[in-house]
Amino acid sequence: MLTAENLVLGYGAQPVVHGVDLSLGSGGAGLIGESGSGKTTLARALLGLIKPRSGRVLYGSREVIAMGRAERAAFRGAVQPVFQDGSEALNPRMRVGASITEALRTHRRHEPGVAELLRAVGLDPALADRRPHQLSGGQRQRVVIARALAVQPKTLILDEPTSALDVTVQAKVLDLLERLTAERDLNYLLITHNLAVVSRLCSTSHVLFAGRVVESGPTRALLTRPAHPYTAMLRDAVPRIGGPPPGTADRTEAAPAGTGCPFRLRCPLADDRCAAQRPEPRVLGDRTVACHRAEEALTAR
Amino acid sequence: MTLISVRDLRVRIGERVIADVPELDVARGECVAVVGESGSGKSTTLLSILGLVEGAQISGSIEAFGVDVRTASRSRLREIRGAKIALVMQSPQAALNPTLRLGTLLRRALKRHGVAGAEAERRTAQAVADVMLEPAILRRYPHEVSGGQAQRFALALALALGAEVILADEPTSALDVTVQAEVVAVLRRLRAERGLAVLLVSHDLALVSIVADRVLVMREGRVVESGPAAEVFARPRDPYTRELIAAVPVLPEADRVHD
Repeated sequence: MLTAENLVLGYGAQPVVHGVDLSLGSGGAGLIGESGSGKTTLARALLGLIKPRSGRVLYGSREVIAMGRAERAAFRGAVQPVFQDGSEALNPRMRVGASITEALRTHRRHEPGVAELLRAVGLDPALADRRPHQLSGGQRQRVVIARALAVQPKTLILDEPTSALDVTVQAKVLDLLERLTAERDLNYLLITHNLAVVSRLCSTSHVLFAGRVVESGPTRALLTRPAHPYTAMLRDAVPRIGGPPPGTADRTEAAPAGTGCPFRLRCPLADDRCAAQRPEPRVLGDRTVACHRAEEALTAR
Repeated sequence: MTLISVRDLRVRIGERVIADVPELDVARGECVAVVGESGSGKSTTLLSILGLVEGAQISGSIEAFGVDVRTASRSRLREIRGAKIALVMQSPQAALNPTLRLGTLLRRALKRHGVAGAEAERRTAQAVADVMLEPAILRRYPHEVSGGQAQRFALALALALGAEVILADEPTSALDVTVQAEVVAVLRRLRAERGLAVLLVSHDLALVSIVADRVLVMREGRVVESGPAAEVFARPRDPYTRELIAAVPVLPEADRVHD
């Protein structure tokens, strides 16, 4: 179980993640956010790659940042990342079979073999002799997934794993992830800006805006009856085959407000209360939402 | 009025056919989309309209504004390229000189095309307003603007230079969905109000279905299906088109709950 408690993260003067609570229990959770929302920073912190300013990342009952060397090595094996671009994650000079063997050796494992891992992700074991540039984007991403699986992790942190792929290739990689996570009983956090991808793979989702989770709950409920105006805006901006042209999502370049609700400068429902007071997350039926006007947003739809 | 007309275009490298397009027309105010996956030849098709495909054997005819792009003189090409036809790519920020403010970039581009002084100021103000940017953006450097702003600035630059056709290669693929919606809305307005024509190359079928009037589906260099977008998406005839449409991940439909 991987848990974030009131996590505050940042690089410069201003934090980019302001007090996020998140727990990865069983199955998959989605983390939806746009550029600059802090989603990748959050992913890095969950992998123990960034020291939190405050708050904690816990693996089981242990705080990741306080782990000793041996414990940390075990954690690194148990929680594996899969990032967007397979060509950056693989050593360009190594044959992909050797990249997988290296991962096995680092974690002192002999099983499963490279061929078995490549077969598990739907690749011909003969591809082990190729270098990354000799593979297609979809094949490379499958190799990255095979390497992540080599060390038999418990949890995957998937950061935009299919964003660089063609749509038919994306569909196949999503099928693969769906199958593998079910077969191997893996927990995963799927980080993406693509709501449709989340709705396919994740039963629960969290929507991140400007470093805060503004809505959490069952993915289907979030996307069919959003309680936060930002969730609604994201959903309505997704083009659909046979659907209407998306409305103009106004003022996307408005910076998050420093006082009151961070979303209020883009929000169609914002009023005086939103300017005066930042909404705290609260439970509303099947979800948690940080919006003063969530009840109205829910009934308006 | 047809602005671009391609007939029997064939781009080959050795024996390999990179793009084979029997017919492609773009009329004023129209949006025509070429869809396909990596390696389908969609970008090659777009670049050949600008005469930018080199090291390949090209046959067929490519007419833009009544000029045969393949045989035109350099000076005739210059009147069309970068003026009447503008290319907008996935990441315009990379194409903008990082040491110049956006206003300076625009002024210099206009000057190269012989526009200066009050006329340059007028065109700049109009173009920036047309893409719904604030004039203050002109004082910024390329790295100080967001991806969506940079993409709209690229459109403003094209408009100021008098573009009538935009060739757009995956113009919103690097953008967030809300920002993409904004760029799409700007393009829609420019088509309606100024008769701007758009030739869009994209792998995003859902996007294409909501913006394009006509669509060509390409696979491994060949056009497998073409027609009015509404028809192609409602009743795809080619199995590959059907496969592409089926692969688009979909959002759950809203439950019709009244409570």
